[in-house]
Amino acid sequence: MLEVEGLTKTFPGGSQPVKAVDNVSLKVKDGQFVSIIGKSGSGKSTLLSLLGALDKPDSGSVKVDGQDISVLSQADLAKYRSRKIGFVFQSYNLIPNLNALENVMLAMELAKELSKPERKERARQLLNQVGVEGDRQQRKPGKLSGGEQQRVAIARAIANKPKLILADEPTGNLDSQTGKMIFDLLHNLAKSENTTILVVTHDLLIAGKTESTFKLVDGKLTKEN
Amino acid sequence: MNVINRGVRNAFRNSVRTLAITVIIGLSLGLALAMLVAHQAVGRKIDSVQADVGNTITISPAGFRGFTGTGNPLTTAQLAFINKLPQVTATEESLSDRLTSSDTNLKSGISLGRLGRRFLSNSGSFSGNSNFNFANFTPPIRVIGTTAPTDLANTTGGGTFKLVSGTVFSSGSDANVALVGSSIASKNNLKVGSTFTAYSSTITVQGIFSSGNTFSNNIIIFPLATEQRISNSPNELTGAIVYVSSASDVNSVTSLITKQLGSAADVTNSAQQNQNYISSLNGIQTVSLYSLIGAAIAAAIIILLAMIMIVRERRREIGVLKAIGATNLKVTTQFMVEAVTLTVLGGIVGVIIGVFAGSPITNTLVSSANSTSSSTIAGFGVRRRGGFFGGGGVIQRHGGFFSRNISNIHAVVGWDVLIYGIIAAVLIAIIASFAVSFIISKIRPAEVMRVE
Repeated sequence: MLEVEGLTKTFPGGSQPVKAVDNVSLKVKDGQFVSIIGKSGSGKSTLLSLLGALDKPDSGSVKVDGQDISVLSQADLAKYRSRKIGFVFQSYNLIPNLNALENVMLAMELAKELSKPERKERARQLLNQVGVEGDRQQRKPGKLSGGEQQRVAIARAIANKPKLILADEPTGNLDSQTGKMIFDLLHNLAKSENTTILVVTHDLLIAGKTESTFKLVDGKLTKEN
Repeated sequence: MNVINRGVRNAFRNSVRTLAITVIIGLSLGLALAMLVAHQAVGRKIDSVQADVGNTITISPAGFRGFTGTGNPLTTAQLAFINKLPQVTATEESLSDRLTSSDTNLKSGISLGRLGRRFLSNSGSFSGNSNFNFANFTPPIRVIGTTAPTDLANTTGGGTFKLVSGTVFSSGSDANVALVGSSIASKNNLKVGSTFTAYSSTITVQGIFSSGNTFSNNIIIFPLATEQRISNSPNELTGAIVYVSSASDVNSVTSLITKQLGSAADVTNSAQQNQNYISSLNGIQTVSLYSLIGAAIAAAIIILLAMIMIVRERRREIGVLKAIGATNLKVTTQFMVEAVTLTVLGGIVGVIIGVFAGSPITNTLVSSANSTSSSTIAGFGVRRRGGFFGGGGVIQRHGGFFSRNISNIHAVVGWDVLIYGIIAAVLIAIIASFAVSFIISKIRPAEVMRVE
């Protein structure tokens, strides 16, 4: 269960501070696939940063499985991010000089829960699961297509069996056909792994396929359906 | 793949940049090591000079040097206080004289020659006597009574004592014995056990020595007490050399002796006479030390700037690492390993440069300093060039030193230099990494959300 209560984040602006996230509250049950839509600059990425413990809110709380992440220390936050959260980014954000297999293994290495052979085996299985197979697993991101890179990013995101996957415009850099494949992949994962997936997008077609959709306008969140 | 492997691999991520950083750091560290080599070589030379000639003090009667000048002899009583000085480890005393044909039945081992004639004429001894027959003139024979019979460098002004036959008398002997130079022995058919007359006393040849030079081979060496007795010069001395335990005490002991003896003696030390030589070596050492420090700082700045550039370039990647669970320590360690790898590579290049450049750079530094010091050294050389009768008789501890070339410095690259190079490289990398870690810690994980 993801519970957000009164979340607010303000950035210093030119003449006056800008409230990127303004008193946002929401609840998402385990295994739900929800989307947040909004225009560019509406605060979607800031909200995602706060939910993923990448940034600290000015006020409010974020609870994952009942644990308030806004009170965690830096070390605990790092642990939280590695074990409880999986990120999928619009620009994939794979480490360029590691191959696909190593990128997935890196996430597991930081979680420190598996031995190296176990990490390698699980990374191989996950990449097979998302459709990056054979010698493509040994390729560095620069030698993979955008869709393949996003699949590797998804494999990395789910490597540590997180409770919550946060996806920031996961299909934003992909053509519509590949974008649909990636969306289906995330959707299937939510069902098979009982993982909560929260997708930020401005693609209304994708948002329409999720179980629940929120709309963010000038930092304020409203429920669409 | 662990954090160390990732750090090492990252160092080779961009081959052109890796090459550039390695070469620049290599040049800096190479220069630093070359300067270290020069610094060590010059330091060894200074130590060697100070150990070799820097701990002795020469005492001679005021105004008297060899058989030139005027003045009164010193006495053993006057110099007695010297042995009581705590810094003094030993003294060698001597009394020099010349045996004329009326003093001895021996003939000089060397002929008068043009130089001898010129000296005699210039000395005023025969001025106004244009009919003086130089052909019949027998040059006097130089004798020295000494407590250090085998120390030719001190007693005669040069050469290495080599006993050809017989034995050497003890330093405290008072017997009517002598060590005879090979030229005199040959000229007078002397052998061990032969006798000759000196100062109306009969002297037995106890040994025959060779010094490697004609000048010293024409000397007769007596025990000091014997020479004082048979020449009717009780307790008189014409020179002494004082050995001080440490070169650093030479000047203070020289001052003490000068103060005590006052105007009766000329007191000099090799440290004073070598001051210009040492000064120019110290100058080289200072230049090399500053260059060493400067080059090491340059290497540190280069790796620091390179790492800042790399970290700024990878802000997003650092954000990714933090977003997926890496701690500041883990990210910093990875970049530290990368910095160490780059710097060690530079260090290896630097060591190679240092090995090949150390000697030429040392020689360049020394030769540039040589041009400023050579005139001073030549000046001493002229002063030492004594006349036929003038070179010996006084204890001279400076023999041979000034003939050394200042550039005779050997730059050696030892294992210590190589180890210093690698240690310096690692330390520089770690220091630079700590500075960079501050920047890394300031990079927010949310950086990953930034859209470029």
